[in-house]
Amino acid sequence: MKNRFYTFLIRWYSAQSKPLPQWLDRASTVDTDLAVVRSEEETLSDALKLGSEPSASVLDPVAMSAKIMASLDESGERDDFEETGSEEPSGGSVWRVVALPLAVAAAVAVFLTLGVSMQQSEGVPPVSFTEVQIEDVESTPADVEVASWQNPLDAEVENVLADAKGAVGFLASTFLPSSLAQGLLTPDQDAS
Amino acid sequence: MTETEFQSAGARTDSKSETKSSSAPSFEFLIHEHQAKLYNFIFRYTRNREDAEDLVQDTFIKAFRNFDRYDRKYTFSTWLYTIGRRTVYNHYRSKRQSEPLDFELVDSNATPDTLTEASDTKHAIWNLAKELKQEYQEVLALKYADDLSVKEIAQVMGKSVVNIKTLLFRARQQLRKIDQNNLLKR
Repeated sequence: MKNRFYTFLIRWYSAQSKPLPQWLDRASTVDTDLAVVRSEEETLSDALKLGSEPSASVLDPVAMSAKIMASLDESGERDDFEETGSEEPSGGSVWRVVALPLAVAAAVAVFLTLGVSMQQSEGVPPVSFTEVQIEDVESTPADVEVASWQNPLDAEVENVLADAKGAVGFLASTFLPSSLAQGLLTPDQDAS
Repeated sequence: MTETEFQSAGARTDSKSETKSSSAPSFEFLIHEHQAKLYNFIFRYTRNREDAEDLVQDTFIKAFRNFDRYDRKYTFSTWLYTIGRRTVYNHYRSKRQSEPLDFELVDSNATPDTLTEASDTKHAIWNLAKELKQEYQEVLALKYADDLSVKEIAQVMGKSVVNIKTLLFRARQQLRKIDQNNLLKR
């Protein structure tokens, strides 16, 4: 009964190519029946092992690679891959989460900057610093309203940045060691 | 999907594989690195060189398109085999719905000359294995021909690890039973 159980275990471990536990290893060297079982299992494993080094003659690697690349070229996917694939830093998944909000924020910032500079160059004549100061002092109630008005794009940028910060915070608290994450998340507290 | 991601995938494709040159074009490198093994893997299902080549091509294109879904806890080759196996099954499902896919343990490199050398224990054992049911043949081939771990086989076949361990155990048990010429007795 005991030997049958041991036989089962030897075959179970051998099937997975796992080494036998020490006690079973000892038992299979002491007991001749178990030694035979073990030997048979090793023979079977050796016989099944194939050196599956594929021969180059079966498949022309260059031709196959060219065919696949041609298919990707036809659908234009490879171009996308090469355009986007040049500068991305390693650590892909973290970067991917953070990259989108940052890209949106950068785009909005560029848009705003360009918008302001275009407005200045198109309609409004250049104004000196002193003139601006004088105008500010002489501002009317209507000007005050204009001053309190907030550009919705600014709010959007703030939201995007807040989302990006939240994502970075989440990633830092999830994936970094707690000591490092705390340092990153609360630099002010550490400094004080 | 980026070149860097392909490069990192290529760099950790297999512990057994060679390291790659960082200057090599990544996806082409991955194709070079894996196509022969993938071809052998797929050929076992198709037993037709043209079909196998087409399916290898389809598999790489699917891998390229779905690279975002690559789970880095597995090697790239395991992921490719998983896609390859599904591609083969889908191909045959659409091509000849009534016929079940007949997996066969044929070495894609084998020539008639090498097949007649069945006196060799390895050939004899693998010839015996052809009598096993398809699931057993598949699990043996993945384990011993493709040299995948139990966990990787589970991923490729879409089964649990315990299920694969049981299949391996039973496949070997069946093989011993049909070994009437006592090839396995020393």
